[in-house]
Parts: sequence; structure tokens; C-alpha cells
Amino acid sequence: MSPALRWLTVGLVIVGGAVTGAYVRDWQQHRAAPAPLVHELKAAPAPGPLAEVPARRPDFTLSDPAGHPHAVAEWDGRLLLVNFWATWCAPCRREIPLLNRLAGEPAAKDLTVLGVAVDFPDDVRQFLAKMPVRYPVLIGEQDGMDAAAAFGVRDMAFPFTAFVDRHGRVFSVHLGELHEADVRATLALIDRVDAGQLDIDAARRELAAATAGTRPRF
Amino acid sequence: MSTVRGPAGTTPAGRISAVAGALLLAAGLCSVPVARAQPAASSAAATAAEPEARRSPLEGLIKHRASDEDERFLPVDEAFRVEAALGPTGRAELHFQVAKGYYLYRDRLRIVPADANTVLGTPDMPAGVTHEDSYFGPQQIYPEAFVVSVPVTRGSPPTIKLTYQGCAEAGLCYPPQTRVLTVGRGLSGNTGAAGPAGGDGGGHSEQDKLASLLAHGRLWSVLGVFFGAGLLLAFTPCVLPMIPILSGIIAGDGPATTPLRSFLLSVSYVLGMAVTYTAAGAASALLGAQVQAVFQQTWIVVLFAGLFVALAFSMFGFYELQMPASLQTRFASASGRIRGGKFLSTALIGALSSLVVTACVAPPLVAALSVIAETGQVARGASALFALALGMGAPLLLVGASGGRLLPKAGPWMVTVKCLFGVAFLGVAAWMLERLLPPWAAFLLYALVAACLVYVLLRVGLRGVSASGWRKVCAGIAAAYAGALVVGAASGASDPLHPLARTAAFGSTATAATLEFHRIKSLADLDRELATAERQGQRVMLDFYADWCASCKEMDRATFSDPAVGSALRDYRVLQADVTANDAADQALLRRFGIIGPPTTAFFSTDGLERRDYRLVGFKDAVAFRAHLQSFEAAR
Repeated sequence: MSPALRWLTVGLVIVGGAVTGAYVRDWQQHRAAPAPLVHELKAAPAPGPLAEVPARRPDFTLSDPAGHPHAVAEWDGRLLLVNFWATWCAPCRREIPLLNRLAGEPAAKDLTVLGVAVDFPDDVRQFLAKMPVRYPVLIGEQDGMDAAAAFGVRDMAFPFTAFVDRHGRVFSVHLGELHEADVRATLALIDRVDAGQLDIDAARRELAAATAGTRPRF
Repeated sequence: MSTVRGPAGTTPAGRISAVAGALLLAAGLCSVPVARAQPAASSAAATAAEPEARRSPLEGLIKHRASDEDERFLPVDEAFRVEAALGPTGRAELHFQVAKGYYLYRDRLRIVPADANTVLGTPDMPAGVTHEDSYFGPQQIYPEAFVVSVPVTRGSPPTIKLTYQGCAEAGLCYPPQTRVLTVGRGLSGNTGAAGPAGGDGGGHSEQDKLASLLAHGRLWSVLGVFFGAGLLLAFTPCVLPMIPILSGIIAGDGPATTPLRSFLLSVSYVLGMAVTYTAAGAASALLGAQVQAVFQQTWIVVLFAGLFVALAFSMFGFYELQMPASLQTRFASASGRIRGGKFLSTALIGALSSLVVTACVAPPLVAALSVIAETGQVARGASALFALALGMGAPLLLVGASGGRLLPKAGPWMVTVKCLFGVAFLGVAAWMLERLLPPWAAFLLYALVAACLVYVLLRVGLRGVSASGWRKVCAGIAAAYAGALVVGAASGASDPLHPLARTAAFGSTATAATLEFHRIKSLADLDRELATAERQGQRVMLDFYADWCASCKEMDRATFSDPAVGSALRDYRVLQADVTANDAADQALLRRFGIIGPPTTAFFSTDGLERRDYRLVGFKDAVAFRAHLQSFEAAR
């Protein structure tokens, strides 16, 4: 091989390697979502609303309206319905009568409905003064967001509800307004799981089958 | 404006958006875009397969997937889309799209300037549909697409920060969303992959069209277009000096030259040039640095000019230009023969040429750099740059392929030809130094080069025979030119191609309508000039210029001095920013407009707004320039 060809080959191999490497890198970065041609991109990314749901209830501590801190562990051993809401969210407010009823039913003596208001404390206190809420409410701003995120919400939206069984396992999560039939079906399944009558994964499949037809799709 | 019964007498929206800022920050920090699950039918497969690909086995044991919740509600940026466009007479239009079953609250819409240079009037929001809210009372909502028009008092380009909040009728509310939009490109923060990029308003200018093609087009057509663009650039003053450089290298290669060898030399040169051009371009786009200006520092230009003087002297036969002996032996042991080093040094000269000689901005370069910087498509952008550089180098390959055939092998002719290329090297060196010198000194340098040419033509390679007729004619022309240059230097002329322009002007009273540039240096100068123009109802042209930019000089020479261009620009306020120094003020000006470098010309309509889609990049001759002015004036 003449020296000219040798140098040419070396050059081409280097260039080819660099180009191939760059393409592999771009492909890995862009196969999920090809980047749009934008001039300024300051927006948060737009993935699906829910990430993976954790197996166990995350730990968080937030203040009640009077300013006293409460750890979620206080309700360990009870069936827990954690409802993330905000005063400015109309569907969240629509759920409150249902949650009041559930919390007040004698049949659900070991059920705790826990409201987590992701909002300004003053706004929440003003709201609670006007609207009766018959279950414990904790208030968080960034820490409230963090708690919701720990339950698997990625694209924050409200209302968001998590069901935690009596062993501290997250049974299911629900994004959007709750419907009474779905909630009652979920609570009944958790009762059967906690009583040892049903495997938790089988119960989840049953829930998915029971609620699939009732959910709106767009 | 309808009232919102805020609990503490405040409007809730303002307070909400403060929380939202924190929320968005959290979302922005922790999440990465991932592929969305396919709707309905394939959901089971997507649910099963997709997470496995990204999850570690351990995670698979401890987590379960949220059932089909992902598909019930749209991500917020699909529920609500917004694009900004420049409306008529200095207004920005924000086009909102609202998915069916979703709505936005009118009172929670906030539109404010996003930077200190933008000044907005009161937004004109259309009436919405009244919606009864159990807590806040009647609310105006937008369940369908709507347009908000905002007067833009100032901004170049105006940037708008908007906050909006909405819900799904099926029972979900999104926290307030904040977006920053730039008006004038027709591209917004969340058009997504499905949006028609470069659609309305975005694709007028050549660089924007190329950028859109590069970002979205098929790879082979992208490479073809950029190669073609490179071919066109090859004959501009930015690339042309490479032809004498490469020809000289081939001519100086010595008696062993074969057509194949000279072709391979030109391949080395072009590859060195193209690889460097690509790497420097990609690096500057990623780092946001001004590589182009960095290589125009005095010492680099002087060093490079010195290299060409040394090459010229070697062509004259004063000495053999060789690599140091230690390097030679290394190459010798590496390649078995000493001559491989010639290709490497040729490639190095190609690399240096691309950095120092081709210091001009052209539309395809701007397109490639902006795509790299804004979308992170490095490989695509770099491939386009490489295709562009190969296009610029293609004529050089022709030079290489023919050079070996046309050049004489040996003899007195060969000596003359080598000396002529030596003179060409001296010309390149003078051309490099011209950007550093006052005109009179550059004129004298050119005169010196012309004198060398006269000497070569009349004295070299003749072996006692007197010079032939054509040699005498050429020498006469060169001598006349040298004389004219000396006169030009004395009379204060500025264009080496027309050294007697000033002298001739003494005779005629009707001088051409020369364009009167208002020089600006800082952002404050610019704002003052724009304000003056706005008061006087003038359009504004702002030209970015640098001494080292060959195309800029060509623009001055061929376009801005054209009387027809001068009269077409009569009613404009014509500004020029000289960014030769590349100091902090220059960089601030370039950054304000997101300009990569000169030559770039920006146009402002009478309301003081830059029409970014009419920005000119690279050389334009007088005819094309006037056509551009006409289309700019005909635009809204």
C-alpha cells in the first residue's frame, strides 16, 4: 500500500468512526422522542402522567392546618386513602362529599382518608373554614409535590389518589376525579387481600377488569 | 375582567403560579421524555415491554406498573398547545389549541415580557364561555381554540412568558404551566414532534428553510442539499483563496508528482479542511463560543501569513521546506517511506485554511449550527457540515486531478510555474494581512506582490533568452497595477480592486450615492438608533461587519456601493456594527440577535421589531439584495 493510501485510509477510518459514534449517540437520545426544532424550550417535558408506582407507601411528614407536623406512619396498620388535592381544582372539590361519607361510615372503622392539599396554607385554611372536611388534612407546597411524586406521579395533575393496604403496600393509584363505584370496588378488594382471601396481583387484575369499562377515554 | 373570589382578597392565579413554578422546576429536574404508550389496542404490549427495557431486574421485583392510567388523560402539552406568531402592525398573536374535552381558565392566563428588552401592551383576550364554579363563582373558560393578541411595543425579537391553567372535563386539573415563547420564528416551546416545524412564518429565510430541512428531512436529501450549497459557496471570496493555496502545494510537490499523487494531495487537503470545519462548527455550536472570531486574533493571522511567506520562499528555491528530522524519522518508520508526511502536512494546511481563511458565515452554516445548538442533533448537524465542506472542497479536487496533468514535469518551465505559485502564496499572505492593516499599507503590500510578479515574469527560468511577448504583456499589466496601487495608497482609496477610485472621482462631480452607515458599538447605541427610527417612521437595516470577513468586504464593494441599492435604502436607517474586535460589546450585540457572525444583515419594520424571517446571512449581490428589500417591504 502506498503511503498516500495509508494516510487516506487512516483518515477515513477516524472520520467514519467519529460519525458512527455520533449517530449511535444521537439515535439513543432521540429514538424515544425526536427533538422538535424549537427556538426556546423552557417547558417541562411532557411524558405520560404516571411513572411506576412504588411497592410500599413512601414516608412523608407534613403539617396540619394548625401547623403541627404529622408523619404518614401515624396511620400505619390502617387502610389508607391518600387524596392529593388543591383549592383551585374543581374536580378535587367535587370529591370531598364522597370522601366525607367514606370517612364517616361506621363500616369503615379502620379506613383513614388522608387529604394532602398541595396549595398555600392560607388558601387551605380559608377553604376549610367554609367547606366541612371530616377527615385529616395535611398541607404541603414543594413537600406536598414530593409526596405525590413519591407515589408515582410524574406529570403533576390533580386530584390524585393512592390506596395503601393495612400492610403498607400501595395497592393502586388513581389520577383524576374519583367515582364512588370505583372507590368502593377498590376498598372491597383491599379488604379481601388483607384478609388473605386474594393475592394482591390477582386483586389488581380484578380491579383493572372491573373499572376498565367505566373510564372515559379521549 | 371578571372577578375571582380569592380567599384572602388576592387573585388565586398569582399565588398558584408561584407554587407552579416550584412544581415545574421539580418536574423539569426529575423527569426525562420517554416514549408514550400507544393508545388502546397495543396498550398491553406497551405496558409489558416498554418498562422492562429501562428497568433493572431489581426494580422489576419491587415495583408494579400503574394500570392504564397513562391513557386516560392527555399530557398537559397535548391538551393545550400554544404557538406565537408575529401579527399585523407590531402585535404578537398567541394561538392556543385546546383538545376536545379540555378547557383553560381565562382569568388564569398571564402574559408578561420574558426579557428586559421586550415591552408589551395590554393583551386582548377574547370572551370565553361562562362556567359556574361552585367555589369561585362564574368563570370564563376557553373550551376551544382561541387567539390572544398582544401589542408589542419593543423587542428584538420579543419574548413572551405566559402562564395558563386548565382542566379536563372528565375531572383532572393541571397545575399552572409557564412557557417562554419567542415571537417571529413561528416556533414555540411545545409544538412537539407532530407540529409542522418551520410552518407559518418560520421558514422564510434561507437559513430557516435549511434548518427545517436539516432537522426533519431525509438524511440523504439533507446531505445532497448541503453538498450543493457547498459547491455554490466554493466560488465566493471566502473559499476561493484555497484554490491558489492548494495549487501551490501541488506545484511545489517536486519532480515525483504523478496525477494520482497530486489528486491524493488534494484529497488530503480537502479532508483536513472538511474535518476541521465540521469539528470547529460542532464545537462552537455546542459550547456557544465564537470559534470563528477566535482564529482571527492578530498573532494567528500573522503566523498564518508567515507560513505562506515561508512556503513562497521555498517555491522560489531559497530552501527546501521540510519537517524536522525527528518527525521525519518517526513518519519514516511508521509508513516505511518518508513521503507519507507530505500528505499529513497538506492535511494540516487544509485544517488551518478552514479555520483562518474560510471565516465567513453563510446560510447553510447558520442552519447547521443552529440545529446542533437547539435540537442537540449533533450527528445530523455535523454530517451536514461535513457535506457542506466537501462541497466547498470539490472544485479543489478537480484542481488536484488536473494539476498533475497540466503541470510540467521539469525544466525551465517548471521553475517559472513554481515561482508563479510562490507569488500566489505571497498574495494569500498579503490578503491575510490586509484585515490587520490600514488600507494604504495593504495597498503597498499588494504592490510589492505585483512587483515580485513582474520580476518572475521577466527574469525567472529564461536561461539568458529574452522574455517572450506574452510575458512582457503580463509583466506590463502587473507593473501598471503596482503603480496604480501606489497612487491609490497615496490618494486614500479603500478598495484594492479599484485603486484609482478616489483619483478618478476628482474629475467627476457626480459621485455615486454612497450608503451612509450609522456605526453602532453597544446595545445602548442600538436601542437609541431604533428609537430614533421608530419616531421617524423609518425601517432599519443593521449590518454586521468584520475586517476579517471576506464576504463582508465583498458586500461593501459589490452591493452597498451600488447606486440602485443606495436609493432603495434611502428611507431606511442604515446601521452597521463592526465586530472585528469581538470584545464584550460586540459579543453582547451578537448574542442579542443570536447571530453566529458576519456577514449578517437584520431588518426591522417601522415598529422597531426585527423581522427575523427576513434576516440575510452571507454574501448577496446587488440584484438579489434589492429583491430581498422589495419582499421585505411587501410583507405585513
